[in-house]
Amino acid sequence: MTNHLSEEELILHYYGETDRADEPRVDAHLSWCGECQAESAQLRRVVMMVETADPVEARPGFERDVWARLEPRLDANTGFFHRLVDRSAQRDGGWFSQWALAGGVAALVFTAFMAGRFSGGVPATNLVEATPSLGLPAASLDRVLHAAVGDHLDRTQVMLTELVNNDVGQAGLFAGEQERASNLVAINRLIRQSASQSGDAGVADVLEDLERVLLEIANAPADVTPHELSDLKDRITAQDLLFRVRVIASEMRNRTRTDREAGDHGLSGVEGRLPQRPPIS
Amino acid sequence: MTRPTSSRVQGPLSERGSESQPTPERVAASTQISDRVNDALGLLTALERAAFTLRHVEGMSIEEVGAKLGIKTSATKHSIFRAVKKMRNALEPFVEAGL
Repeated sequence: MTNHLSEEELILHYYGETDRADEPRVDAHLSWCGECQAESAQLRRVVMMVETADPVEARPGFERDVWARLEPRLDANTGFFHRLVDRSAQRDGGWFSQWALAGGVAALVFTAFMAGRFSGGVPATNLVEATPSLGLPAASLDRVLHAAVGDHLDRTQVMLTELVNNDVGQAGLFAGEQERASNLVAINRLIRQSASQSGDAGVADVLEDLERVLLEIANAPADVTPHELSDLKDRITAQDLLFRVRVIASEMRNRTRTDREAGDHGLSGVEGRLPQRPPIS
Repeated sequence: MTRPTSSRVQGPLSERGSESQPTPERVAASTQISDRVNDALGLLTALERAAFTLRHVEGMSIEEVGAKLGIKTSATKHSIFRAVKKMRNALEPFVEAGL
């Protein structure tokens, strides 16, 4: 009677992780058993299909889910967030790299999007631990970070512009804006907390005002009255919120450009601070 | 014995470069494969998916995957075994069809 190799043994053999004690037996069996050779080849074809597949897009709402899982960890001083702060500060010791952390969180989401295979619900700790190890060099990661923050601010701008300029109270358009606001508020909170922790009060101020408005939009009742909507638009306008977001977004684009130009020569040439909070009229 | 087809040998996908310019047919096939793989990954539990992905995309060893996920090596093995079994069941028809 022939004792064929089990699927588990074939998998471990494929990985090159057969127990040392079993290795001679497995190798010897595979050297002559056509049936197991065929089974092994089939296994290899399937696994290679997975390994050569392109990353897939994350499902809608993934960003919000990631935030929900990250949020509890932000409260713990020993958590991922603080480790990132420490690591960032150790690397360059400057304001710039510390603030880059803000984008780091955004990039956590962004790179997780790119590694879309995580999109189905990996526990937060695993996602957090796994995402930074995508193999990007530090300079590339910074580029991704700034691009991700810039992307968030651009999307926020678009949403606010539509809200201020359109009659979103009609035909359920406000519900759409609420969903967008709800998605944006999560990442905005991460960036704001990061900016605040790194001592960048100017940026944190803008993001705090922005968060308040986004929350107000997201949590508004479904039957919001035209008067309430008008009040909201007035507050956005009175705070110059759109202008201030635009300033930061523009700065992020500049940084992304500078990062690209800096290439592998590091980020030491980028030392400018973000513009101060413009006076509220 | 070396196994040149193993992801451990080849390294993570993120480190691989494209050797040639993709043709439209190749792009279309690649999209189809990605869809199939994504559907199959959807059949896994969160733990199975995490273990499988860390092993095959990140190229970690089983022991490293276990450390990353905070579970014992034996539990990691079983998660990966279950994941591979499910992936095989889901993808073998497409492999045999030459997709």
